[in-house]
Amino acid sequence: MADAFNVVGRSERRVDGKALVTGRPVFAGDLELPGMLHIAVLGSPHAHARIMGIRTDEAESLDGVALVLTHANTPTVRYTTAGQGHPEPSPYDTRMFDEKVRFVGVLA
Amino acid sequence: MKFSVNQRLFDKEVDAGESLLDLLRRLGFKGVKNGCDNGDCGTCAVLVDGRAITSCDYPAPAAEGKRILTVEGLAPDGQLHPLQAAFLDTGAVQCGFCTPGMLISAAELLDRDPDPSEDVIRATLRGNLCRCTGYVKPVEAVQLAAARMREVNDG
Amino acid sequence: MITSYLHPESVEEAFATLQQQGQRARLLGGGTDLTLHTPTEVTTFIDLSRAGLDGITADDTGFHIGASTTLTDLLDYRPFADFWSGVLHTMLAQVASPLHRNAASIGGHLARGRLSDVIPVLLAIDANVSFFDGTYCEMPLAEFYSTRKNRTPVVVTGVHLGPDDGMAAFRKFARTTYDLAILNVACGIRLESGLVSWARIVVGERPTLAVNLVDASADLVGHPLDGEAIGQAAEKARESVEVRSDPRASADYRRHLAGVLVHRCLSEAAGAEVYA
Repeated sequence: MADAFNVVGRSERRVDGKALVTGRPVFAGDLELPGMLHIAVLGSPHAHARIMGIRTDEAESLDGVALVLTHANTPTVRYTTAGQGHPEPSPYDTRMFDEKVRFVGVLA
Repeated sequence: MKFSVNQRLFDKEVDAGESLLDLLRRLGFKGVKNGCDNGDCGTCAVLVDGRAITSCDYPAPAAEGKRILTVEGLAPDGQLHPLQAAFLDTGAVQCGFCTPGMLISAAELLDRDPDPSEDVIRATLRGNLCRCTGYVKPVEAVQLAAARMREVNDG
Repeated sequence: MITSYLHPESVEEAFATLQQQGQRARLLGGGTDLTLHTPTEVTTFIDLSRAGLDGITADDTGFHIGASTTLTDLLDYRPFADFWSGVLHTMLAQVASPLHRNAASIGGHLARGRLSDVIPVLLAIDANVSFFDGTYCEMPLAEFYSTRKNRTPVVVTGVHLGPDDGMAAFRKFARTTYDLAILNVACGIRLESGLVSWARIVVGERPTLAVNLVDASADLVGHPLDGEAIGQAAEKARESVEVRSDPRASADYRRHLAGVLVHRCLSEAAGAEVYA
């Protein structure tokens, strides 16, 4: 019965498999584009806190710093961390930068 | 300092405090992954003089005069090492992030033991953490690769 | 920040640099610990891999294990497969993974002196440590740790195991097979005419440095290693061991584990088939 089919009932090597097993630079962290900026993350040292203020002037004045992103200068777009597929039924409750930090290490 | 990677000789300035992982990635060997930067997950594994080690906690200056092999060096360009082929054939690769490290650990194992038992394979892969696939298929892949390699060597 | 990485070609050279640089320098074995946890004041790594400390040699004074010997080298060394009941191999197979063992050196391990499955076993099998602090010295490992409080610079050069072995066993309790121990136990026993002539009951990851339980060990001497003696030793161990709570386990749980693991180790050393 299996002989009647070319695809059904047969194992297939996944289409991106060769790139993965040969270590091709296919992950986001592997990309190197000319003139690209690098991100340094300041994670919250607090497990549960409200940000009363962030001073970015010292960081901005450092050589090579192109911009400093915080909740104050980024759009308040909410997304869901669930990601099962569009249209996503889980709540769109997460902001990339929030005034409230909810675990040590979250983007501050 | 002078060292070789995948049989290519390099003579580069190396930072006293940088890790072998950082050195290899900045030289373009992106197949060596940074999973935890803490010596725990095994995604950064490479062979140094035939021994598999985690490159994130291996000082770059210690690699002077050493022969390093990364996943990119397991087979010549365009070809697949039996382990790489076997991982694909058994479905042992999902996101693929842990795969280079597993291949390195397995490559050292098969070099030392061409017919390892399942227990030995599992013990070997213990330092390569995998969230997607787990270990059933990678273990099968190592067994399959070992069998194929023995066939080639005996035949 | 590390600004200097040195490869001295002798122990004396390494020691001289260590003395000169004081707190700014650290000796490196495999580097697996120091590269991840570099104290802020450290600027110099002194790599000992070219200082002539490799290799395991055997002669009639026993085994000498050079400080640069990796944990994998120890696991590959066939004579240890039945030395002291093969306990070194049993223990090493439970330490992390080949990736770690291929790099970690025994010298670096002993110099760190904590978070170890190796130290309890070496203490239980009567190991000496050799080191250089201006002169070459050798002393029992336990004495090395108890006298190291003054923290003067020292280069661990190796481990010495005498030729007379005995029976030994090791148990480690951890959340997963890959994890550090919550508690570990190693026992070493020598018998003469059916009676215990020498005993060590070592408990480690208490969470502090492994120690020999002096009273429990001493009580075994002069008696057969039978069920009654083992039971009493385990109970004594449970009562007397100093344990603390930490995020990984409570003191009570460690105390309980100590009693159980000592019982299992001694039973195995006595030749009984022990579950787990």
